[in-house]
Amino acid sequence: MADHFLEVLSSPRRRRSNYARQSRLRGRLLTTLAFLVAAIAGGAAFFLPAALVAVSATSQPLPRPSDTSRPIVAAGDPFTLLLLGSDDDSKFPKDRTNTQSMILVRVVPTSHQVTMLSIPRDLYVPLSTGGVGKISLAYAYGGAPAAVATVERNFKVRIDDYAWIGLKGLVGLVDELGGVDLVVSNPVMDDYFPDDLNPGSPYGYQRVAVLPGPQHLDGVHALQYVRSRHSDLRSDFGRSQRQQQLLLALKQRAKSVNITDLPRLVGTFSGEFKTSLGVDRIQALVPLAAGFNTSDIHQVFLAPPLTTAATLSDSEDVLLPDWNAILPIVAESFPAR
Amino acid sequence: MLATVLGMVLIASGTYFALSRLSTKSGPAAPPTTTAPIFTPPGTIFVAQHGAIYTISKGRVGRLNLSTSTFWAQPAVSPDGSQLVVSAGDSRFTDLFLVSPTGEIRRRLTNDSAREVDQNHWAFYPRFSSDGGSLYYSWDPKNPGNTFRVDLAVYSLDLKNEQAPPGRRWTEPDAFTGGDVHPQPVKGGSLLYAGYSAGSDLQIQSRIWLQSRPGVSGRPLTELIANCGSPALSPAGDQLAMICSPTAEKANLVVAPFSNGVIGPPTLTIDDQLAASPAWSPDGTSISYLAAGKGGTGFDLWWIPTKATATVTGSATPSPSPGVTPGRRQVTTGLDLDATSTPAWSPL
Repeated sequence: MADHFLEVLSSPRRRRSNYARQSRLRGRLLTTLAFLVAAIAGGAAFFLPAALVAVSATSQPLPRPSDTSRPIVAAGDPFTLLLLGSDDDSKFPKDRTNTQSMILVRVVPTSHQVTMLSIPRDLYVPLSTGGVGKISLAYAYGGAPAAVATVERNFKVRIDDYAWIGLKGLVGLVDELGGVDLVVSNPVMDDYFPDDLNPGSPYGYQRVAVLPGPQHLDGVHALQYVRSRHSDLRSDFGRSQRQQQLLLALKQRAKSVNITDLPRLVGTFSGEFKTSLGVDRIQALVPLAAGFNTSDIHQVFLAPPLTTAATLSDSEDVLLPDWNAILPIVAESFPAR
Repeated sequence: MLATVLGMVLIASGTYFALSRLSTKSGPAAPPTTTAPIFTPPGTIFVAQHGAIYTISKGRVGRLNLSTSTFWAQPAVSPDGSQLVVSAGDSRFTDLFLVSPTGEIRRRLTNDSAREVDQNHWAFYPRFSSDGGSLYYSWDPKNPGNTFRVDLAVYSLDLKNEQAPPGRRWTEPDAFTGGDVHPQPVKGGSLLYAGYSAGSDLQIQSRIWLQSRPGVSGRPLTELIANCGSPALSPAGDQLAMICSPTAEKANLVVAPFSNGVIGPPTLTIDDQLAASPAWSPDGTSISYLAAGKGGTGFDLWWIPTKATATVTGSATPSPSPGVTPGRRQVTTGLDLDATSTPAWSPL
């Protein structure tokens, strides 16, 4: 019986049949594998541009050689982030632009508390790069590390990371999110709004009228709303309030973003966004940001009498800080770890 | 082998496009003419979207026959419905035009364009007087002492006598606040408007003001902290609708009685929507307003009765709104209407 069985198995016809079956099976496996690879390749092609931009824009170095005692921020620990927004048009050499917006943000993940402190761009302070000047110059003189160091030294705070966005990046971000709904605080009228998004007119100006009340703003009008200051009684303070308002509207809008939106969103950041945060940290922060309620966000502005307008001997208009009044507020809102 | 390669190409591209389609970004809202309204209030309502003016009437949407090369907004309809005033312009200026209800231009009312950028003017918020003989609007006078100052002031134009623009100046806005907007003429010749001022905390907020005649000081009818604007007076003049923003994230529709220059306690408040630009129906029984949708698709038209006797025509579908306010209904959906253009409601 056993001999007969072996004989059948080893017969040439049977061997050919087995070989054909195995060959078909192998072919099917290879085809399935090929289709799987094709699907992965399609997905990779979709996400690859975003990954490349993400890698180039994130984890930017923030060298601070003098400070070796800086603790590493663990997940769940409170952290402080410096948000920087600046002109990035052809008036300036690349990476030598003034910051139009500086917002210091402290996040306490466990209690879902956020504090936002707007730093006026005309604040007259010692710069980390040497000398004294408007705080907006720190970025122009030494990039993000100089801006971070200047804020740290003057405000006596520790900054864990920074994020910088250019004008065109902000416009693109708002547009890619489909616009934002917000309540425009008052008529924002400006006959001398910079026309620098127009590449042919970096020194030109245009008229702007953002009418008051609830409305849906696209990127260009959102930028006009948060950047205009000439016809505002509060000048930079009014603008700071509007900038924080837009941040909150963006946070609200970001709730509807899903992973397949990332390539589009990241694409708008090409050259328009830099941060010392790593991709992994950003991934952890996105759901965290979506979970915050507006009522948990504490907004701080350095309006008079915390600052005083002054004109220097060279006719430069600046804001002089009253550090005796400012530092206790900062220490309370941004306590040292 | 060839079939496998073709299959791989198809699967790779299919995966790519499937992921693209999952992306949540929606394109610009379609013109209102491509969809029927969910519900049609009585009369004809003029709304603005992306620089064009549309009519919503008897279950249909039409477009005013205006040039497509100009940005049209802020329609206002005369009390008898026989003519409209619409603002038109670009990023430098706006002018007001008297047009027919179908969009034929009858007369240009202002001349606000100039070659020098800072010599252009804005004309916004046109509103007819109750007899239709005058037009009130906001306009930015130039300030030779400080060219940075751009504040809107309320003016009136005598339409019957074809008064030259800008016409008669009514208000003196607080400097560097943005000024006075949303003029609302009152029977008898006085004026309601929203004026912006800075409080002690340097917040710029609006109050509703009542002014008896041009050039005199007005009287605030609301507190600065309530931050109320967009006044809309009922045709009988006995109820006032307005938008109040007690915080930067809120915009509530509030309706209150109005008598002898005094606003009474609210009879209706909608505080679960970002509401904008209320307008009364010609019979004074309901209000249309614009409100933000949940998905960030911009603003759509809503309708709410203010009296139990409100009549509704053209109702085709049940209200999709689960709102708590009785009778509130959504008129359009996903249209991204211009929320700074108050709907103009004609009896015709």
